[in-house]
Amino acid sequence: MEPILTYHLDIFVQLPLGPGGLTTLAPVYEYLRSRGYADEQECIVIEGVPVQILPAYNPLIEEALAEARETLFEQTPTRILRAEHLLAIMLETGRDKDRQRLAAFVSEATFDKRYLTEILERHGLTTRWQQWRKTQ
Amino acid sequence: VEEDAVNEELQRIVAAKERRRRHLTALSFVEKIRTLVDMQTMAAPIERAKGRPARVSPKGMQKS
Repeated sequence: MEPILTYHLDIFVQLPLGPGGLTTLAPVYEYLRSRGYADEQECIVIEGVPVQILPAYNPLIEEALAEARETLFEQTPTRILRAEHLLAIMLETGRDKDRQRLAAFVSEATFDKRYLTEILERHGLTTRWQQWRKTQ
Repeated sequence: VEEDAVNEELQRIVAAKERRRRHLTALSFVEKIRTLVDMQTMAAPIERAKGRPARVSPKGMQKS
């Protein structure tokens, strides 16, 4: 699909559970601040790019991370979520901007419908998908 | 005749937009990131004029 204007980079991370069974991003931010990177609203600016670090907060995101595809950005290996998982995440979060992006994504992106169906079934999103399709 | 000319011009614009969209869709991952940085560069002055933060990504990510 075509690029959409954004100013920050979202990075999902999987972290071990801390004391009390909670995941905290505090050590990550402390480390980055110690390297001289500054906070800016909900992001931390790394080498000029505002980065939002998000914990893998549910099984859908955990699966998306596990199935992410390794993609080179010039010489740097990166891991990018598959289109089918991005669709499912947009459907699950359901904010207005996600619903708009979902519509654009479905009309423009190349994705595996069977794989998407499996993801939606695994994560209890089939009904929500059918309801969303009716609105299009 | 004038209306026909306007319609023809509109069709030409719509077709050009569609071609541009198909071109952007077909770009590689790296090219899409570079296009995004170009978009940031173009939009940043407008965002800043509105009082919104708009940080353009480093030059190394832009087209050479």
